[in-house]
Amino acid sequence: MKMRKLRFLRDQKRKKILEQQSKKKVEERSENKGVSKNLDENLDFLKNVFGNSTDIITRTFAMKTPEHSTGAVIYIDEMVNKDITHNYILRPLMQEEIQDQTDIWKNIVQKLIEAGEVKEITKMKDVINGILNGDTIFLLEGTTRALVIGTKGWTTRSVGEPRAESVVRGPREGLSETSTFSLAMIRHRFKDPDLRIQSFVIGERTQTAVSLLYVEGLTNEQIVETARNRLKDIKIDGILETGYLEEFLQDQTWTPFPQIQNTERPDSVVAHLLEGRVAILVDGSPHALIAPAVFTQFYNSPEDYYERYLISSFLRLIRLFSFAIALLLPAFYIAFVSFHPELIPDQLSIAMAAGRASVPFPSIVEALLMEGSIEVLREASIRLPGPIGPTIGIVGGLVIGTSAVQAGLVSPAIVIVVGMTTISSYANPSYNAAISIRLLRFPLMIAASILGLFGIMISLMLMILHMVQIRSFGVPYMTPFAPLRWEAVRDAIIRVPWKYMNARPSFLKPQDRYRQKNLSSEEAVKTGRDASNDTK
Amino acid sequence: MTPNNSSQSPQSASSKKVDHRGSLSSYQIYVLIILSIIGAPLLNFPRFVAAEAGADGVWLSVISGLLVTGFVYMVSKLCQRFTGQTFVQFIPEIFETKRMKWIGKGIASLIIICFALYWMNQISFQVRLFSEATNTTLLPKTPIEVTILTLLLASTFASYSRPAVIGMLNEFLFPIILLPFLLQLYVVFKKGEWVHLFPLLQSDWRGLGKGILSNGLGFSGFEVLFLVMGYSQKVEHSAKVSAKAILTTTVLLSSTIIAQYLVFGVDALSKNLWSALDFYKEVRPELLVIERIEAFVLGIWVVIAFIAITNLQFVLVRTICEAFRVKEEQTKYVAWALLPFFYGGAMVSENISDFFTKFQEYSYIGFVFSIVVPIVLFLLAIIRRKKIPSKKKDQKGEENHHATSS
Amino acid sequence: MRHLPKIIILTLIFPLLAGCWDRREIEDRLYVSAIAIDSTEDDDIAEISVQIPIPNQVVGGGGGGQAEGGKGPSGPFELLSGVGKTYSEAMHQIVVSSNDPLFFGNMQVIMISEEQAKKGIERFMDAIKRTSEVRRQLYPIVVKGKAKDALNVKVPSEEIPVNYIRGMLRSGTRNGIFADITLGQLLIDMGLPGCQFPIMNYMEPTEGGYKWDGIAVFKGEKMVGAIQGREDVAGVLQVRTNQKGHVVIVPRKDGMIAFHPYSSKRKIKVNPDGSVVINIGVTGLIQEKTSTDDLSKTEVLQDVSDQVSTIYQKQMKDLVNHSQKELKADVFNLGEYVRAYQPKFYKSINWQEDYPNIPITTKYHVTIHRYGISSD
Repeated sequence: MKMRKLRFLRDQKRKKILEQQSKKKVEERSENKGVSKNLDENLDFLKNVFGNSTDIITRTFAMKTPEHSTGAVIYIDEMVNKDITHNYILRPLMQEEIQDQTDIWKNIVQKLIEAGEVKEITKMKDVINGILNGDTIFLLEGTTRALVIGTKGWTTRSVGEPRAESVVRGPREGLSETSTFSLAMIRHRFKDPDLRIQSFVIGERTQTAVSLLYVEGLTNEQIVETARNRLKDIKIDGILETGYLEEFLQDQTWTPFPQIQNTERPDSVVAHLLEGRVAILVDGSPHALIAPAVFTQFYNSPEDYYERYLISSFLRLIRLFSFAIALLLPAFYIAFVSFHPELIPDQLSIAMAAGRASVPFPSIVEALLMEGSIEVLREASIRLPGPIGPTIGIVGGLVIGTSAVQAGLVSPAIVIVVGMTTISSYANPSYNAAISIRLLRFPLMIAASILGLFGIMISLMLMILHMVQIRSFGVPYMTPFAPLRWEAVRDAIIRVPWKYMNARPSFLKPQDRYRQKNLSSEEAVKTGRDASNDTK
Repeated sequence: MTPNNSSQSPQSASSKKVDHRGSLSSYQIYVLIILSIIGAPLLNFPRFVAAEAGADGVWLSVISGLLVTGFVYMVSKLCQRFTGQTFVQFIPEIFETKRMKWIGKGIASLIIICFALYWMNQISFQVRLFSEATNTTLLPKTPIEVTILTLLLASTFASYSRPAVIGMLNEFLFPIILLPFLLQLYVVFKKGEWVHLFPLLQSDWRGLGKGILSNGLGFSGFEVLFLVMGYSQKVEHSAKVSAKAILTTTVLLSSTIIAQYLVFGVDALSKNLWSALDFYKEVRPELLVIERIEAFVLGIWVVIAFIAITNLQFVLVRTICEAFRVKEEQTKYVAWALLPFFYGGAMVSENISDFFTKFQEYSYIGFVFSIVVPIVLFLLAIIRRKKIPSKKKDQKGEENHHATSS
Repeated sequence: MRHLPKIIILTLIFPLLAGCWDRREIEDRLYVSAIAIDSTEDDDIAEISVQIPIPNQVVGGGGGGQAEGGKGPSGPFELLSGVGKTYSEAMHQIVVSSNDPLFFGNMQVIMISEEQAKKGIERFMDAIKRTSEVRRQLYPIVVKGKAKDALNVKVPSEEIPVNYIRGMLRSGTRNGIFADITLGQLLIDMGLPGCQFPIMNYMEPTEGGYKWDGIAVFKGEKMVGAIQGREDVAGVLQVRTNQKGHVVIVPRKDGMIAFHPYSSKRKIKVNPDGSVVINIGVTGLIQEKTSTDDLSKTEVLQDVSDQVSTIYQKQMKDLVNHSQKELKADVFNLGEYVRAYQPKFYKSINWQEDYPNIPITTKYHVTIHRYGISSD
């Protein structure tokens, strides 16, 4: 208790200091300083704020007005679309003639500037933000107003195929680093006016745009509210990736299990929005966060919904099997070899004994050695430059494996076990869930080496206990199994045909419960096809 | 630390008493009752029945199942009278008189202590029984203390979770524990012989009574419903739910007993200490990778034992916490403090036959107690017309006041 | 970070615990694939031998690049023996002479020499029953001659003779020829109060193999004899374990017809006076026909099936007589039915002694289902 109190006091103190510091910063940037009439003063102020950064271009020029008023255009090189800035802002401003000196500002706004997005502002703070966002600022001598002209347009990567979530059948488009593009991709697929995009700016220094997506009248209010509050509570200097947000948004920190899904597929985002979840996009990251996420979701691929139900159901069962293999096989190997050889078919057990005859280590050491080296190999093959990566992977795996067996360091059986485990862990469609399984394998192996099968079962029990305790945005992690939700179970281990998946997952408590409006609610859930025929 | 996570200030940590009412769904209660009853005794209960009830144990198991079902239905009606209250809260109310409130409190604490002792006995029994089975089959050289402690540490760790978590844990594990019962059918199909069931009706009246009682012992553990009903979301369904749970348990237990009678015959069964394991040894699965299914079954038994012990511990810990009004955050200290007692209880017997006789005696006493006491309570509650008036159902404050004043 | 100390402590404790107690690697165990129990001159002392395959020398088990492969002089297995008054005493002798602990989890066969079987098997079975690692699926058999020698037979097709026996027993029981007696079944039989007459397969080692010689019949724990004819054994098994029976050749006027049963169902009825009626329904097909009978005619089929049942019936009658007069042992396990259906009568007699006096009648009902592809 005492410790906790001390910690609390310390945190309070820290908070205060942080608040003071940030206040100072804002003051420096002059929260309420308006645009001055004097252009030079404004330019000096900006120069001061940006500290002579060389990428800030300030172009001062005289306009063709009776009084030859001086104007200035300020932007950041390479963050603006130069075509617009040069041809549609600078050229008309410098070449067009304005006869009437008195109404010059109105003329400029209405006639000269040929760009689409123009906003008048009076605060220096907005000027600074505009510049940083890639807009072009126009300042005019003698006015206290400034123009923000939307010219965002920096070079971006072209829309590419999602690399971590490739599918055989389905769209090949991945989200982009520029969140406006990503939002456009989502809008393109989801032309519902009820789709709401709420923007947040998170990061004291990076000022990153974060968008929260949900569907009005479908998504449960409480989930949206939770997401909103949690986003608002984040106080950090910078957000570079959705991963930053994920750790702030998740309910439980001390767990290997991911509680928020991420995807780089716009179609997947839309599918989850339709189920009643919220999505969060971060400018600068090609990933979207999906919440709430339950455990089974990490074993579903977007393709499950694109292929016919039998195929997807089969694939899901395969994935479940591979999940079990990836988690348990090394542990069972240890338990069987070191504790319960009577459980191995007898011909195999003699073969395995022969294989292990020259191995000097107990099976746990053998397994840790091999599992460890395969992890190293896996990590290294990601770092290796493109073309040689796979080669080294194969060479490393094959050569090291074979020679380790030949040298009598490990038995042939463990090479098979490790190979199976590794391959199985790749069958998992989501990378972060696969890593958590890779991690959990080790405690299970250790438990198996202490108490054999009994140890494995007890650790599994504790693992299940832990999984049941987790919640994601208030939704229990193991739904639809605990608590049991039948209509969601049909989309968990297998996938039933779309006709029978009329209800949205009820654990998300959507405001709009049914997908197929022409079916008469409850009956349709049960009888699916018949009801749909009747109503037609 | 991130500001988000460290925001657990002392103010929020020392929150006031957490209300768990309505945290368990009907299905969760159904599963919880079944899993609390089945437990480790499944390992040798058929043997016990064979030894105590002879050949008639087969059908007596069904009879006592039905009797217990009826009894439980009645008792849960009692719980229904006290919506949203656990037995710790309503027993004092049944006994209290206006003049002497201490009578209610005194008798209630006596009853609660008896229940607590009974549960402690059950927990120790199950832990020891299961560890003995594990040590006989899987870990012959490991000291029994290690298995007992491992099991107890795991179950204690689970037992102080919130009721909702316990409910979900039960719910999640339930389908898994049904697998051995399916396998059982396979074994019976392969090895069962009808002739092993006969001759029936050989025992006299005394024998029948003994048979029913010994069969009923398999249902000890149903008392958890006195507590969990207080956490129910739909109390109006509770009687039906608990009766259904006992019926399901009857089906599971009786089918196990019948299956083992069919395969072994009553005499071989009564001599086989771990009949349940030998039962699965009788067949060799042709298609499985594992050479022996009994290992698979034993693996699932770890689940069954773990969840049964966890449930009982959970009920015991919650009872104590409610009786002494322990704060939610301190529940775990209660749970850990009880661990040495279970361990001591499990280690009391030096050898296994002493262990069996001792614990079965206690279990008999406890079982009779847990049958008789609720009947008395039930009658008293009817006679004295004690119940929570339905209008008070939603007024938490008043109810709490009511409970504290008693 | 509150959990960090706990995590550190746990990670420190685990490696210390790893490898305690029961951890014994697969290669550090001596797999007993079979044990043989022999009698010695002294009635109280038995000799127990264990067969232990040497993994490196078993074909297919050569792991990786063991250079020292090749067969030792003694073949791919070791034979260790010990003598003693009890099972554990003999085992102790073996244990002290071996480098690693014996492991019975993969044991396939228990061989008991005929001589020892006649002296009694209870004391060995008890020890085996109490060892939980022994599987209930192994085959106990009685062998003619010295059981230890039976373990040493060189079989051309298998490295380890036990594998050969096991394969033989497995396919034999699957075909319904051998008695489907596993250790589990034997223990159940020995535990049944109404039975007391266990049976086991009876085998004889030959040059380069083994020969199945029928079944050994026990009275209590002692072997009293054997039933050797194939027909007789099939009859016993039809009643005892519902096995399908054997092929019957029916003589017809100008040739013969072979009846091949594929399933049989027995119903045992016990009357209050203790007399037993065994009804056996056999279904089968015509496997071979050299006569000119037209099988598509119902009367002919009926005639053939009547003939088959008469043959069965006669054989069965002889078998019952044999069991009652000579063996004086209830090979059919009828006692269990008498106990189950007529408990009063059962209590009034001593089944073990009174079995020969029980009137037993058998009735066969034969159905011919098919007669192959040929239309007649």
